[in-house]
Amino acid sequence: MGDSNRLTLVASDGGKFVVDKEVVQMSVLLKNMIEDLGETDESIPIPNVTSPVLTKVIEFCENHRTDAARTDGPNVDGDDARMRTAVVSDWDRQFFDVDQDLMFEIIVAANYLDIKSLVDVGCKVVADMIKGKSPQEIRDLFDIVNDFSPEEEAALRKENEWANDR
Amino acid sequence: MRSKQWSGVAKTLRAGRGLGRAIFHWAPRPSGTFCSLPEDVLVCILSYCDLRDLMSCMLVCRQLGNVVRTNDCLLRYKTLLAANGMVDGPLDHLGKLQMLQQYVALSGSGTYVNTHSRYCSPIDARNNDWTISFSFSSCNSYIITKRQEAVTEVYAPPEFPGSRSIRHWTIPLDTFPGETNRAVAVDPAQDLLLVFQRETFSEWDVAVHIRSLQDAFTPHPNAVLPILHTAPSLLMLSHLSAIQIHRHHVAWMQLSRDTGLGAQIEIWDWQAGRMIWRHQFGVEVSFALLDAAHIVVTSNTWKDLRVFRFDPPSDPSVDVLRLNLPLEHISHRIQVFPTHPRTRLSGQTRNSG
Repeated sequence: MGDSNRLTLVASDGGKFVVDKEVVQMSVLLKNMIEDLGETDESIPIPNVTSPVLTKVIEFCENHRTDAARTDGPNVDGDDARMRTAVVSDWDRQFFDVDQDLMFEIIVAANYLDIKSLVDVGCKVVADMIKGKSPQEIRDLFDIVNDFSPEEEAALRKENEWANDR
Repeated sequence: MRSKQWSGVAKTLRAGRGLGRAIFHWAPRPSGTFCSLPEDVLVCILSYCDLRDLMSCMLVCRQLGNVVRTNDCLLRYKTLLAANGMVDGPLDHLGKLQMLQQYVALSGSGTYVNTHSRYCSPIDARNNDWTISFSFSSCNSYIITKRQEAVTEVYAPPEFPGSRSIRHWTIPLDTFPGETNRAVAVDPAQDLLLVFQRETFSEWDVAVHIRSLQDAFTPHPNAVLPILHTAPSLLMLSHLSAIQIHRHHVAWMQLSRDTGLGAQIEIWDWQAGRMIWRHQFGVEVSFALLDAAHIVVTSNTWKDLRVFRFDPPSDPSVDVLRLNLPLEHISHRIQVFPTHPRTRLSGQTRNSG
């Protein structure tokens, strides 16, 4: 240890990651914790986040450390009356070019660690996968079981008819 | 919220129990499937979906359907549609997306557009003796009153998508004798004609005649009462405006001549003949019915769009959803729902021969 600008994160499987404090602080959860604890030499365990997932999360934070201030500005949240568009940068798209399990695990970990920009990008990528698909195609895509009865499904379809012929 | 949790963790630590266990307490279960995503993540995903995708998601499975239904996803989307100049309902001549694209192309991206005056003004300028208004319902109709010819004409878009035949009705002005000060609203899909008149005994009380559009002399068969009587609580009532019909609901606004008094919105069930919701806003407002339960309201002086529930009625002073408006577009949003969309058909006389 000794370097006060770096911290050690420990994944659930014991994998150790030495990371710049500035990068760690993109996680609101860890940032608050570090502030609460003050200077400490203790490494920080991240239970239930595995090494492969934590590797990806750190990769994202390292890449986005410089634009953190920009994307977390107050206007991002305040502007919700505008149509939200799912524009994802090439880097982010490549970042999420992984198998589905890992993708969802990254999003869940980001949500748990409270890294807003990563959750947002992940959600945009998923929304993009859903775009233009029928309910059955979405079920196939994410391996979801249809638990509606045919009657229920027909009733729901009828209820929403007007939205379907834009 | 989180920092509170963590000061708890810090205390646990100081008590010497170890960080690992403290964090473990807050950790999520491992997950790698769509349906195991936390609800707030699902809501975030849905916020990036458009209306058609939301509808698809509702049909995927119960869990996802419930997330769409219980998290204001649709309400939020409808509000955005209305803010961009569109009202919920079956489609008329242009698809909503197509309309939005056209307006954005005309006015620059992110601009809120005044759809109302775009239709009204050019016609109005060439025809001084006619009064043009625009009626909002399942489709957007033009109402043209030609006082010289003693008729009100209604033009509505084709009944079926792809059809080119504009629908047209002519209503003789003497259908409603003795009163010149009136507003007209129609919903062709319901064969509904609403004519607003001042009561003969009062300067500000209003009578609303509920007629068949096909046969303006006949009360509408679905209406319990042929005429609604409403007495606005605003003194010095100037006029009615922004009449909107959404299935069995009709909403309108009453503006005060003294602008300091602001506006009052009333929502009626025209079939049952009763008022459902009424609220006086201290400022001039614009509004749109979103669906059978919600209305969105905004004002030049607000920085947000406010959604109220009117059926079942909720406290009119409490909004159920607020959407902040983009700060850089304050000058445009004044026109989101213009406060004077010329729905009043009165008083204009012909000057030239």
